[in-house]
Order: sequence, then C-alpha cells, then structure tokens
Amino acid sequence: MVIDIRACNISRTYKIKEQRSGGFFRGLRPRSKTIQALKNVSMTVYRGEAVGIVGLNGSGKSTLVKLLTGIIKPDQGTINCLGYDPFRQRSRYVTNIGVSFGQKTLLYSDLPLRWSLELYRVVYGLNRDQFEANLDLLDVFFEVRPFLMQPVRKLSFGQRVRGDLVASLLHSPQLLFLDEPNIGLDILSSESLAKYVRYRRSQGKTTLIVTHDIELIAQSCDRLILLDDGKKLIDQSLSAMKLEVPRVIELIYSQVRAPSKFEAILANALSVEREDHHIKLLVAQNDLDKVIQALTSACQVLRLEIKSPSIKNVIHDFITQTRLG
Amino acid sequence: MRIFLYIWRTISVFWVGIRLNVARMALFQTSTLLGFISNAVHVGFFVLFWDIIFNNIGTVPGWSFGGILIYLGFSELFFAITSAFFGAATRFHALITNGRLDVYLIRPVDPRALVFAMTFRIEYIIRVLPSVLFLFAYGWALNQGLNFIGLITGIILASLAALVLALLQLTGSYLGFWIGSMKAVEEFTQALIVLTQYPTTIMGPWLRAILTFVFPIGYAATEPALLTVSNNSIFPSVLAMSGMLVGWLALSELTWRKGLGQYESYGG
Repeated sequence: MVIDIRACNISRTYKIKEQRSGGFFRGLRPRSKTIQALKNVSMTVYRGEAVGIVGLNGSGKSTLVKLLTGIIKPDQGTINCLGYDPFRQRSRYVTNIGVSFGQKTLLYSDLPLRWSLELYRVVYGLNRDQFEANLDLLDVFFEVRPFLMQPVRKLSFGQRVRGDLVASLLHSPQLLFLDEPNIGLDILSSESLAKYVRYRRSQGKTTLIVTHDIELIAQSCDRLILLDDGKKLIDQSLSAMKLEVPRVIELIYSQVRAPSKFEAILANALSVEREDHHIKLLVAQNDLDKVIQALTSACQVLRLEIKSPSIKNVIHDFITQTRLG
Repeated sequence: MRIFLYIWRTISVFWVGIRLNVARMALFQTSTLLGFISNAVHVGFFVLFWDIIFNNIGTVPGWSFGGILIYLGFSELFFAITSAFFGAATRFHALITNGRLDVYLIRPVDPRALVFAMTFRIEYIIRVLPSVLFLFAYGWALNQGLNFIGLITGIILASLAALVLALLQLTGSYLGFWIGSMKAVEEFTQALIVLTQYPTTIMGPWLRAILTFVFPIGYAATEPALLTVSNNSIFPSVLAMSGMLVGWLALSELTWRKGLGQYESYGG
C-alpha cells in the first residue's frame, strides 16, 4: 500500500508572552512561556484513506495540519508527505495538495466568485477544459454555479465556505486537508461534503479532516485520530472501534425456564435495565453470541432485538472512555 | 525546466491579478473618476507650492521651474507605481502576525507574488497619468528640450526605486517573524516617501548619499528628473541603482527564508 503521509515523533512548541496580573507595572513586563502544542506524534496515512482528527480545543489538531501542509516546521521529528518534506520542499509539495481552512478565506470580496476561481485556475496551471470539467464535478457536490457570478461579499457565509472549498479542490489534489470545513454549512451541504470525501476515497485520493463534527467523520472517514493535550490518544479504524463497543440486547420474554442461569446471565452483563418481562442488556461484542444462546435456553423468548449503536455514538463513547482512561 | 514553469506561472498570476483589478475598477467607476479629480487637485497644489517658491524665495540651486515640473511628474509616477503594484509590501507584517500568511503559503506560487497580484490597484497609475503627462509636457515646454534617453531611463529608474522600496518594506516586515508586530515599518517608509516630495539635491551631502546609495529615494524623482533635463551620463545612476537592487533583493530573500523557519502562524 502506498503511504501518503508519514510523520515520525513530531513535536512543536510555541513561545507566547503572558501578561502578568497584579498592577500596572507588573503588566508592563510580560512573561515568556513555552507551550508544547504537539508531543511526539507519529502517524501514517495510506493512499485513499479518509482520516478524521478530533480533539478538544487546544489539543494540537490545527498545529498538526500546519506541520503536514508545510506552513510551519517541526521542532523535532520527520514528516514525509507524497514523497516530500512539506516544509523544505513546500513549493513543489503544495502543487499536489489542497487545503481548506474553514475560517480563513482567500477570495476577492468585491468580485464574483468565478473570478477568484479563475485566479486559482492559473495558480494551479489548469487549462480551461480541465477547469470547466473540475468545476462541473464540484458543482454536483457543492452547487456553486447558481452564485458563481455574485460578488463574494454578497454571498451568505455558507455559500462563501462552499466557494472556498471549491477554490481548494479545483485542481483535484491527491492529498486534501480540511480544517473545520463545515463551519457555517447547513445539514445538506455538510452531507454533500461527506459524499465528496467518499467520492475521493473511491478515486484513491487521501483526505484528512480536522473537525469537531463527529457526524462528518462518521459519514466520511474510515479512521479516527484523537489528540489530547498534544498527544495522540487513539488511532483506530471506525470499523474496529465499532467492534469494541458493547451491544444492546432488548429482550421480551414470557417465562423463565432456568431462573438461576437467567440471573447469572444478567449478573454478568455490563449493565441491565429491567421492567417486568422487558430487559435491556449491555454486553460486550465478543460475548454477544454466547449470551443470546444462554438467554434463549434460560427463558421463553417472545422478542429479541440486538441494537448496534450509531457510529456517531460509538465515536463519542470511545472518545469519552479513552479520555477518562 | 521547473524554474521556468514557476516563473511563467508567476507572470500568469500577475497578469490575472491585473485583469481582475481592471474588472474591479469597472465595478467602482465613480471612485476611479473621482480619483482623477483628486489627483489633479493634489498636483495643482504642488505646482502652486513650487511656483510660490520660485516667485517669492528665489531659485532652487540646480533646478529651473520647468525642471521642477518634470521632477513632480516623476514623484507622482513613483508614488503611483508604489501604490499600484506594491501597496501590500508595507502591510505584509500584518499577514505574519495575524497568521493569514497560511493561506498564501499553501499555493504553488511564491506567497509574496500572490499577495501582490491580489492587491494590484492599477487605478493609481491610471489616475495620475493625465497629471504626469501634463507635468512632463509643461516642463518640456518651459525647459526647451528634453533628453529622451534620460526620460526613458528615468522612468525605468523610478519603477526600480518603487521595487527597491517594496523590498525594503518587505525586509522590515519579515522582522515580524521574530519580533511580532512591525508597524514601525509603515511609519518609517511613510517618512521615506515624504522625502520624495523634495529634490535630494537640496539636502546635505550625507543625507543625499544615504538616499542615493542605501535607500532608493534619490531614484524616485530627483535622479530621473536630472537625467531628463540634462545631458548627464545615465551609467552612474544605472550602476548605483543596480547595486542597491541586488543588495536589497539579497537581504530581503535572506530574511524571508530565515523568517519562515520562525513562523508560528497562530493558534486554531
């Protein structure tokens, strides 16, 4: 398998000046403080993967993206993306990547969106046929044609974000970084973005998404990386994550044939909700078959249902459990 | 091969920048029209100022009134070129401190070229052209003769002076990579630009030397005007300007490369 991103033990610190409290004169002498934004983070992303990066505010997500896009250089560790050192070989590397910062635009505010896209057509060296073909494809997902000739400053925030996304994707980059891409996007546009990322996966193109929106990750990614306080806590595929999350068995029964065995099953469950002849059991994925077999032999089953938690809930529970240790 | 492609792409980006700037001007026609009028008034006041000097104080050593008009033409041209093509240079430090440089660094052209292309304001050139042509024509009529080679060389020197001033502003802005806000660059270069409104020949020898060999102010208007109204050789000026251009280019590039290694963007 081709590796598109390989980062080994990367660390990055920032120096900040902190104002001192306690009087006017103390405030005039700010204190210098070093913050370690990333601590020995390693990761590998294979070609065609879509990886979601999540974490609380200040966990190092955006710093990671800036390092991987060559905007800043690591204090320590090595990065190789598409065969390039992003910082040292930035001018060659960035031809092959697309980056969208949800909160930073680079569109002409006075001019229609189309004219900003025209600038990027030239920046990425696309001929007119390639430009129109790519724009047609992106329009299927982001529907920008209806407002293509409107001045950017007259667009709604969501339209502007879609315009920004199109400007970043115009050259069909092999590697795409989306930093908070769906800020300001409505539900339909967010779903379209997820569809586009899935489309990229089908084309063997790699995408890295930094977001707080777990739904977007659930809809579009096959792997999740959780950062916390600059460290990588989780790096796991969503399917593996789903296997590790317990399942809910909902059971309605008429009579118990083997009371002691029945009570033993309930006692071994992770949690039990019981009301008359209606029981909800939380059992580990590995124990699922064994528990179902035991239940059907211990009682007269009227209805048995196994509920899989939604991927969104799986991610949420997984992150919560991991952070709690 | 790659370097040619890079240069070609940069030139193409400049060309699109100019086209988009013209499109923008079409959207703001009234503003462009008002620009002509305000520039004519501005130039009128300067002509009046020098007229008062010549009529009430006496002569300015080395200058006739016609020569001064040509000097004013170059001064206007220099200011227009600076504002039209390099307006972003003085505020470049803000991109570094507020982290907006990020969005330029992720594109496959030189970030500085993209910043300039996106901030071209050709209207500054267009709005001064009538005034500059009037000043040159009037100065020519009063001066009874112009050195054409000197005029063309003067225009090139004034354009290069604008480029060198931009390099100076950029070099100062890049210090923002280390020390944060560099608003001082704006104030310093503003002070230098004020000096282009007076011929450097009226200044002391040390100041004149500094403004001719270190800072490009002497080449904004004084040297170009002197070349146009006299038969002086163009080579000393071309040589000095070339040296200054290479020096500032090297210093600017060095500071940029070193500074990028210090870039911290901003959180989030």
